Amino acid sequence: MANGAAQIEIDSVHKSYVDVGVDLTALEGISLSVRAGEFVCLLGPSGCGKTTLLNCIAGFVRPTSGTILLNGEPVQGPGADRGVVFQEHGLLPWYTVAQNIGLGPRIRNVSAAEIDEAVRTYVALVGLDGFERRFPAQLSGGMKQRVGIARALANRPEALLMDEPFGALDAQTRQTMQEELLKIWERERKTIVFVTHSIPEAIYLADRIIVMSPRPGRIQAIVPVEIPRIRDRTSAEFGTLYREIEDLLKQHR
Amino acid sequence: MDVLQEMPVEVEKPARIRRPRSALRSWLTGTGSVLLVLVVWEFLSATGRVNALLLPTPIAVAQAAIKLTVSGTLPIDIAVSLGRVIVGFFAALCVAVPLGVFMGLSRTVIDGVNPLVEIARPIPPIAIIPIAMLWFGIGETSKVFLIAYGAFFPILLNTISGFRAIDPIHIRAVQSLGAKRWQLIRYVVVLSAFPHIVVGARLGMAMGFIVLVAAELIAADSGLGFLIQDARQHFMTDQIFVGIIAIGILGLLLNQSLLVLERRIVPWRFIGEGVTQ
Repeated sequence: MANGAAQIEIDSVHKSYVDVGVDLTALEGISLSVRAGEFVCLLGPSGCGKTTLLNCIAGFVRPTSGTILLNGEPVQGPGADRGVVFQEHGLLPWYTVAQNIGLGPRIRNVSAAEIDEAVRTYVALVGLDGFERRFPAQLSGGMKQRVGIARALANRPEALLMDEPFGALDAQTRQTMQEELLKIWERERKTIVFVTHSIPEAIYLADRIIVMSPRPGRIQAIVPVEIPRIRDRTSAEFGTLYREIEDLLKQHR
Repeated sequence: MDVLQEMPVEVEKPARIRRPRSALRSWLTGTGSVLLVLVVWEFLSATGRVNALLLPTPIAVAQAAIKLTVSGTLPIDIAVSLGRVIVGFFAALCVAVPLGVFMGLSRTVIDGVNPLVEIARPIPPIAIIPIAMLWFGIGETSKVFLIAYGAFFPILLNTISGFRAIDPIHIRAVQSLGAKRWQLIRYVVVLSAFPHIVVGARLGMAMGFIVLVAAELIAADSGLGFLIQDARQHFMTDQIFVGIIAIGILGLLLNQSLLVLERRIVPWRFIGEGVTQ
């Protein structure tokens, strides 16, 4: 891969919103360092600020205080170095699968041949051969999410930021997608920050799980997952870790 | 578990495209009902149950249509009306779309122009006809002006709502692909608003057509509205019906051709209706 993987340094990030005169603290004192090529899951109940934190890294939201560095450079706004996969896929309905996937290269103004090459590569990577000329509305939820992932990857980002990308999928599709995501990650070696509220999803995917607690959003614990991949969801150690994390989350119910 | 994990990706079926009902069957049903109305109509006026002077038989109307076509009157009136609609419609398009873009994109422009639009919008364009005739006479200028006026608001309002309806997630998605401001406009804003503008154009065309007929009925020396008015003065009810039916067919054709055009230029809006497949 031409691009490396990004290292992300989050230092004392604080985010509050003023809503109808009430001060809401979404994130408080978040410090976290993500290694280049690491797969990190942000896990927690709704309202714990995990999506807000991801949006801060993506540059969609500016922290009230604190800094976020990407390879040592402060994040100023959204950029091509961080590919984003959205929960509601965010595909452009007026473009076909191929046009959506090729949009990043097209924005970078590379040659038509290079765009075609990128589209071919990433269509194949996510297993969508034969669907290039479909519009998003003609695809199932899982296929839309594949396009979303391919679109982000085709732009050769250094980090992939994923906001509950499989949250809207049925259980079976969800597992398939998790397996494929790991394969893609092993091939592409991007840094991945993945937001989820599913404990098994986090254990299955992550190198480290950042467990967050709500009101205000804080990092409650950082749990390394040392089970070798591919992880067996039915194994004893998987179950032990599941209960450990469940207990952590229960403390804040 | 193993079975589930080995499930190939092909198990995901794309969203099903609805198959249209047998086209022949619905065509036959439609044609049948039209024929039925014609038969009843013919029966009523041919048997003298209604006064054939007031309601001529379909055959008499058809004969009048042939006569008017051969004499050249009908084709010329159709051409004149159509020409006015097209010119007026494009005039409206040229003003309403740019204004709608400005209003959709700029807070200041919309705050300034919106009250004016809100006051003018509920006035039926037909109410403007008398003053338009005083300003522009009864010639082409007043017709074109009235059509443009009628088409203006549907196009303007839909253009504005098109720019208001942009999904923020699309903006974020394209921003995170590295798009600059002009690229956001090119890849998201314009394409997001486009289908709304096209719908506005179709509604505007329909309104322009209504205003045209009204204007031609009131004061004109050519066009389909004039044909009807002229026939009324000579008590030629068969020709009145020729004019009415010609207006109906012309309106239908205009709307259909814009629908076809719409499906071609914004195909993604019609997915699920069995059009793109």
